[in-house]
Parts: sequence; C-alpha cells; structure tokens
Amino acid sequence: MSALEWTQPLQWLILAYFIGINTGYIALNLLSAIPLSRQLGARTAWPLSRLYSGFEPPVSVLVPAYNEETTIVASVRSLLQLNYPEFEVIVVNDGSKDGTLAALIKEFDMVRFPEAYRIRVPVKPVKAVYRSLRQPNLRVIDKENGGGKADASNAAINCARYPLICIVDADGVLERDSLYSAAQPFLEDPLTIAAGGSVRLINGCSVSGGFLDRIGLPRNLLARFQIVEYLRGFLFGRLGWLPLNAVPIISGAFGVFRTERVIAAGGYRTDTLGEDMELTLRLHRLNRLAGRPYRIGFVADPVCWTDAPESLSVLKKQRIRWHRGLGESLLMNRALLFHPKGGAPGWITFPFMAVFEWLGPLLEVAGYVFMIAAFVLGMISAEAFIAFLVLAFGLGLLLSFSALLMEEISFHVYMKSSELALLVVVSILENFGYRQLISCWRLIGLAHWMTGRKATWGEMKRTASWQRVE
Amino acid sequence: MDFATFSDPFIKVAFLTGIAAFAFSFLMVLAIATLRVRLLYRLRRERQLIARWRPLLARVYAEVPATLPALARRDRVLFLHLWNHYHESLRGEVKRNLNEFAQRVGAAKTARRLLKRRAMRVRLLAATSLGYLKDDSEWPTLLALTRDHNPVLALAAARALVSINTQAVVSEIVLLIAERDDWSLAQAGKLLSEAGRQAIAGPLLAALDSVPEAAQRRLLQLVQILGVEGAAPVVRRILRQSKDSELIAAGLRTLRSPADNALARNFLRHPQAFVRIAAVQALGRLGTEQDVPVITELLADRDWWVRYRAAEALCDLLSVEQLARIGATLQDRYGRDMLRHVASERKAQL
Repeated sequence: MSALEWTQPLQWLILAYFIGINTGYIALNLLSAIPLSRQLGARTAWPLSRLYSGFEPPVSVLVPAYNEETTIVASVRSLLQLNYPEFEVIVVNDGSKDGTLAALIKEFDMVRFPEAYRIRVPVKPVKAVYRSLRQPNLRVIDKENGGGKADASNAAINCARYPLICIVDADGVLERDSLYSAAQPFLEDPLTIAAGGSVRLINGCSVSGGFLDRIGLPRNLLARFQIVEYLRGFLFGRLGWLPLNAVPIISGAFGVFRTERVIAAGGYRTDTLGEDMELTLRLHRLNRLAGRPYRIGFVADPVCWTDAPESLSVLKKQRIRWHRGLGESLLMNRALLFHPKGGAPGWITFPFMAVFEWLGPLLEVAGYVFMIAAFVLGMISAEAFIAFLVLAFGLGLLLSFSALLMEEISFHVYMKSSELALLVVVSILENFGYRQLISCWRLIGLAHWMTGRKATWGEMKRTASWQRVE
Repeated sequence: MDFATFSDPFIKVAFLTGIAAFAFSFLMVLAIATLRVRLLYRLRRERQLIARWRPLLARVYAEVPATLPALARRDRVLFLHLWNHYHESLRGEVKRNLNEFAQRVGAAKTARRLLKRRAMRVRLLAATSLGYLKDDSEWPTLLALTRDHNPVLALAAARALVSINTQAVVSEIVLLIAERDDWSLAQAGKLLSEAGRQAIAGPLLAALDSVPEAAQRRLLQLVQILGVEGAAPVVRRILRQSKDSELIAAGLRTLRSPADNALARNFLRHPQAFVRIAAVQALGRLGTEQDVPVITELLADRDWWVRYRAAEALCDLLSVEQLARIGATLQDRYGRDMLRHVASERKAQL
C-alpha cells in the first residue's frame, strides 16, 4: 500500500472537518442575518421611544468582586448611573485579600444591615450584608472566599429582590443603555428566561466617568486579533443560534436571567471553570427535557466592554481555562445530546459544539501537523499541500471578513476608516500564526481536562490601560 | 511513492473550495469598503441635510417659514428620519406645524410611496411618519400591516392607525393586542397610553369581558399599568370564577377599592406563592387594621417573598410602635427576621 493510500482516510477526515466547521459557521452567519435585521429594524422604528415605557421589569445587577480594590468604586459608581427605571446593585466581596470592602464602605457609606438572608442556592458562609446610606439601591455582601465567581454570584442571587438578575464582571464597562437593551427580549417574549448581549473589547478605548468615552483600536497586536475574534464570536457565533432558540452561552461578563428560573435550576455550579456556559446549557437541558416552553435571547447591541489579555502568557491561561470550561459544560449536560426532547440545542448545537469546538482543536492541530510533516517527508505532493493551505486560509479569511461585514452593516463602532482598514489587515494576519496558536492552547485545555489536572482560575493580569485616562 | 496531484478528487475539492473562499473573501472586502464609502457619504449628506433643515425645522416652534427650499429627491428619506426625530422630541401644538412643514416639502408623499417598498426598515419609517402626519390615505394598507407576521412592523402600523384616528381603530387594536402574544406588551402599552386613557378604557374593558383567559391576562396587565378604571366588575367575576392562577394574580394587582378586601383575603392561602404575594400586596394597599392578623400569619409563610410582602404590608398599615409590639410576640424566627429586615429598610429609606 502506498503512503498516499495510508494517509488518505486522515486526509479526508481533516478535509471533512474543515469543510464541516466552516459550513456550520457560514450557516450561522446566514441565520444571524434574521435577528440582526429585526433588531436593527426595531431600533429604526422607535429611536427615541426606546426610553422607558413603564413595563421594564426591575433588575438586580450582581457584581462578584475579588481583589478589586482599585477599580470597584468606579465600577459601582458607573453601574449606579445606568439608564433604567428600576434596578439595584449587589456587590459580593468574595473574601478579597485587599481593601475592596473597605473602599466600598468608605465611598458609599455602607452600614451593616439585618438582612433576612435566605439560602435558596447553597453558598459559602455570608459574613455580613451592608446597605448604603447614600444609595438606597446598593447592597454589599461580604462572604468567605471559595467557590470562585460562581459561588459569589450565587450569594448575590440569594439576595436579589427583583425578577431579573444581571450578572456583570466587576472590571467590565457597561453601555448606559445596556440593561434596557438586554431587557428587550424579556419584554418582547414573556417566555424568555435568559438573554445576553454583545461583549466588545475595551483595549484601545478610553473611559470617562465610568462610561466609554472614545472607541479605538489597541496598539497591541494580540488585542487586535481578539477584537476580530470577538466580532466573530458575538455577531454570528451567538446571534446565529437565536432563530433556533439554541444560543449555547450567555457570557459571564454580562448576562440577564429570570431570577426564579436560575434558582430553580440550582444557580451556578462551582465545580466548573465555564460556569456561564454550563448554566446556559443547563437551562436548555432542564427546560427542554421537562417540555417547558422557554426562550433564551440575545441582543446584538454592544452592551459590555471588557479588557482582553495583552500578553501571551495570560491569553494562554485564559484560553486553556475556557476550553476546559467548554468540555466540563458539555459533559455536565450530556443528557441533552440527541435526547428525543432535546430540540435544536440537543440535536444541532450540542453536537456542533462537541465536535467542532471541543474536539476541533485536536483535528485542527493534527491537520496542520500532519500536512506539514507529510509534505516535509514527501508523503504528499506540493499540490496537495498548497490545496490544504488555500482551503484553510481561504475559509478562515471568509469567516473573519463576514464578521467584519456584519459589523459594518450593523453597528460600525470603529468609525475611523483607517481603523476599519487595519481590522481588514488584522483579519488576514490572524490566519498566520494566531489562530494556530489558539488551537494549540485549546488542545492543551483538552489535554488538561482529559488527564484530570486540577483546574484553577489563576491570576488574570490585565492591563486595564483604559482606566488611566480617568 | 504516489503523490496526490490536482487531478485527484480530494485535492481538487480542497483546492476549489479554498479558491472559492478566497474569491468570496475578496468580494466581502469590496462590500465592506463599499459600505464604508456609502456610510461616509451618507454621514456627510446627513450633516449637510441637518445643517440646511434644522434651522428651518427649529422655527416651527413659532410658525412654519413662509418659504421653504425644495427637498432634493435623494434627501427625502433622510429628511423623514430627521422630521421623525423632531416629532418624537416635541409635544403639543408644534406638531401641527411640523406636519404642515412635511406636507409643503413633499415628505408626506414620500412616506406614502415608501410604505409600498419591500424593505422593512423603510416601511417602518413610512408607517411611523404617516401616523405622525395623521394621513389616512393609506389606511387600508396600514390596517393590513397590523396583521403582518413581523411584530415590529405590525405594531408600528397599529401605532400609526391609533394616531390617525383613535376612535375608528382602538377596539380592533385592543383585540389584536390581546390576540397577538408576539407583540411586545411594553410597546403595546405605550401605543395605548399615547391614545389616552379615556379613549382606550371602553374598548379595553369590553375586550376584557369577551376574550379568552390567556388574552385576559395580557389585558389585565395593561389595565394595571395604564391605570384604567372601571375594570372592577370584570375583575371581581374573574376572582370569583377563574381557576387560572396567573389570571387571578393579575386581577388582584388591579384591585383599587377597600370593598374588595374580602376577595383578596380569599387568596392568602392559595397554593401558588405569586398569588399569595399579589393578595397580600392588595391588602397592603387597601387593607385596614382588621387585616393585620391574617397578614401577620403570612410572616411565617414558607416562601421568602410572601413573608417579605407581608412585612411590607404590615409596615404600610401600622406605626413603628405597633410593629415593634407584633415583632415581640412573634414565635416564628423567619417572621421576626423579616419584620426586622423590612423595618430597617423603611428606616433607611427615610
């Protein structure tokens, strides 16, 4: 048997993978046009009357914070200025080792309050609940550390008063109308139990008074690559699943949920690194399998701006953690896979996520390694090698540009033409090394999960350069 | 050793797919560039249009300028956007001047024409504009649009019709609101509030009496939020006859008369917590000291929210001293905690 015949099954497998994943993404791209056009249409119809109509359900904004001494006061101040008729802010000091709690107490005149705290979702012990004398809608929960962001979020869920909860990152910057945008799916469809919005990267932007002041591109190339990645991930990676009611993840950086449904589902799980995706998949699983009608929504509007890692080491840790979280979330909700009542989440989203997102890096890295090795060892011809490269890079480019195109059709947040041109160049460049590197890290994440290596969040050092302008 | 060449099907498929992807990518870059050029051109035109028309539109506060420049054909859609913006921002008599302005520059004709286009966004703009203009020449088209599968477009058409002739259409629109659960209740409520409480009260109450229970739930929410009076007889009948928990809760939220206290008391032991909450809230609004014992019992309810609302109701009905006396006699720890919690909250609010 010749070398070509030996390797042919693997070649077909790699080809099938590349065509499969890209066909899937292109389909998501096309599907995302439906809700995007509807959401943009609604914005045109009610440009000003978007403002309070009196039906918006009150929202509890939950902010888990661990060692956020330097940023927490500014974050809470900006949260208190959100445009929304009725909301409360609950900050959870998750056993911080720095002065997070002291900073809050000092800035907002917090006093201990005899809260009738009810444990509806099990959490680590709560030491005290504080209430602001200046801001009646601000409370702080001081709890023992342990269980990570998930446990801190659960502690806040136990304290939430309102029918909707909005989980945000303590270091994220929200749009003034973010709550209003994210509440729309709940207003439009009473069956909505959760909704997310687009998260964008704040690197290169400037912030004033807790809100975005100027939008720009960062100087750091890694952060630029991630901007294109986020565009892909949010504009069609989430929106595309919406018509199928199969959005697989509501980002932990900003997500709105119906409080009672989250409590009924048991809150966030503390034994996974991907608690946001796990909860979203669990909501799909529990509701689908129980035959309860529900909807998980998504708004394309940028609602939250977050800081992207600008160093390889931090980015590597983040991606390994994300990939482990993905694997754990899928495994914890495996009952959804091909379940007769699983609907689109069980029959389309889950298999797609499992094969192309979770196991994908294995085939992707194997594909690159195999093709290079086979070419170097003379097992495949130059024509075959070139064909592979043309396919891999061509499809990669197609997806990046389609995300840019959607952005240009919809929000065009990068208004300088030079920035748009730069994003086009970045979309090309990311195919030469960056994507492959990310695949390798995701493969490491997969390996860590398979070998049962202890999972930790680790220290996420971020530059937060946007804060310097304040 | 055998080598794959471009004649092999595997290589051929891969290569051609890749080339096609490159070609599409190139087209997309062209599309992005074209869109950006168009965006910049549109923004420049918008700036020019605003610079030209805003000073004229600003004069409608006093009167419509005697002479108006011709509105260029290519600027008509943009002008309608600007004109709609003014309509959204202004109140009162000025709107009449705005309409005269639009008629004189031919924008009304443009809106009628745009309503027949296929693009949804353009039809939305047209429907909204015709509503502001109170232009009934496209009444049948707008009426047909209220049945459109797209709820945003259908609601925009409904809003326009209500604006043009409330009396003629409000009954039909109320029935549509009851029937179409894909319509955002928030936007539907806004539409009805624009029509005015007086105009909607009759049709809303008539519909409430005739529609199925699922639709009654939607209408009762509107009755509550819009503060429509006169729903009490229907609500009383619902509370006496219905087994639908959500409908009962919606009905309890609309109670406004102390005469209905007895009705609210009937639901304090309902198996559904949200019904008990609505009942205790009704007693908090309308109750008297006579209701205190039954509300106090709910401080020991298994549901946190029922306990919370019961404590709130007691705070509404009693003085601080009376509350302290009740707190001292309570055997249930959860009830005591809750009373302390709500009392501290009230104190902090003061």
